[in-house]
Amino acid sequence: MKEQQYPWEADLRRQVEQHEFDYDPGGWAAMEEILDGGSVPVSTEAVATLHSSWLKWTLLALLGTALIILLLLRSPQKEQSENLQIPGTEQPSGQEELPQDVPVPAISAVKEAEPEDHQSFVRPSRKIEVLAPLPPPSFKEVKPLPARSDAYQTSPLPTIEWTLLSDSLRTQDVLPEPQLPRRKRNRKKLFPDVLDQQ
Amino acid sequence: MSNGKPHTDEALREACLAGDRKAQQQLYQRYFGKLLGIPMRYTRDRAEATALLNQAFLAIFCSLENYRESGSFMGWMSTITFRVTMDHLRFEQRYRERISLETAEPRPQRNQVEAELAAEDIFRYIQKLPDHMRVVFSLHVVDGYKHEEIANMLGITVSNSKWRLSKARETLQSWLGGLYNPQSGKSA
Repeated sequence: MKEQQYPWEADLRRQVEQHEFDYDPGGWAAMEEILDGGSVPVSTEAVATLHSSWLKWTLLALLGTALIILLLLRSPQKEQSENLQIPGTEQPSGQEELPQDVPVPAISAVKEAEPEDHQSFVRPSRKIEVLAPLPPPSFKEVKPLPARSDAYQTSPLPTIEWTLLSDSLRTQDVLPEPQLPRRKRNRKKLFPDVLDQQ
Repeated sequence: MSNGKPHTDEALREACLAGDRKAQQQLYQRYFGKLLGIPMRYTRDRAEATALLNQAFLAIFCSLENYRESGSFMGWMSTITFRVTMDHLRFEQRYRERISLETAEPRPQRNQVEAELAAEDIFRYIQKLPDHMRVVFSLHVVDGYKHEEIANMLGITVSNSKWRLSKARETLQSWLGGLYNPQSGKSA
């Protein structure tokens, strides 16, 4: 069926399969180089494309990384925080000079202050000063509140006498279902246009 | 093996296994023309096809000891050449991505088409096809593979394989229109 549809292909296939090319001495020269060197030359164009694509992607990745770093460094948040910084609250850069008049303890003195025996209890050398007793608190006399007016006085609530409900007033456990009249659909009212067409 | 007399394939194989360079050359010379057609119909030019054939011959020389005489020697070498060609195509397809959906190949000159169509002309026109069309056309029409097999080989879908074949047929018919009559199937 395929040959009926494309009959010219059969002739083409026959010619392609049966054709024998002329011998090329240059081919054997290249073959000898392969046999001597033992390496198979891969298509140079493909390798070049592979290398160029590798180089291209590496360059793109480097460019992208550099761009991200630049964006992070120059982000608007940083600029905003720089603009809103309160004067006098600059963070130390580490380059400031130390004040000269502050005495710096020598390392040997610090070492001497440390107890040699770390396991035993060392009594603290600091003495607790006993504070003087506080003076007694002075109380002031408070005047009594004025008498409450009658307008704020409330009358007592009437008492309710508790009585048992009669049996007729008790609610039934299961209420009977209401007997509703069955609804009839008036099709003439619902679909007048349809009924008129019929 | 250096007396220059013709030898049988079996004698050549034995000498090649022993590392005789002359025997290798004789084997190469004997089958060069027959095997070159395989890479020729899958590549763009003869130089690329010759380089592929040399790779195939290297594989043949290296695996001569694996040849069992159950099948024909020519068929065994053809299989190796075809596999080397397919490996090359897969490598190219993976790293080169040369597949272009619209062909921009130059149309052959009319006076070439009007000349009597020889087999090498057919090869030349097949080689002028874009890569994605040429491979599918050769696999299906010349080597007789089914679309499912071609799709597995090339990592494409069956419908894509069919589309490529129809495009290749269309292009070839437009090029060879003066010589082949698709209705009658006979060359003019």
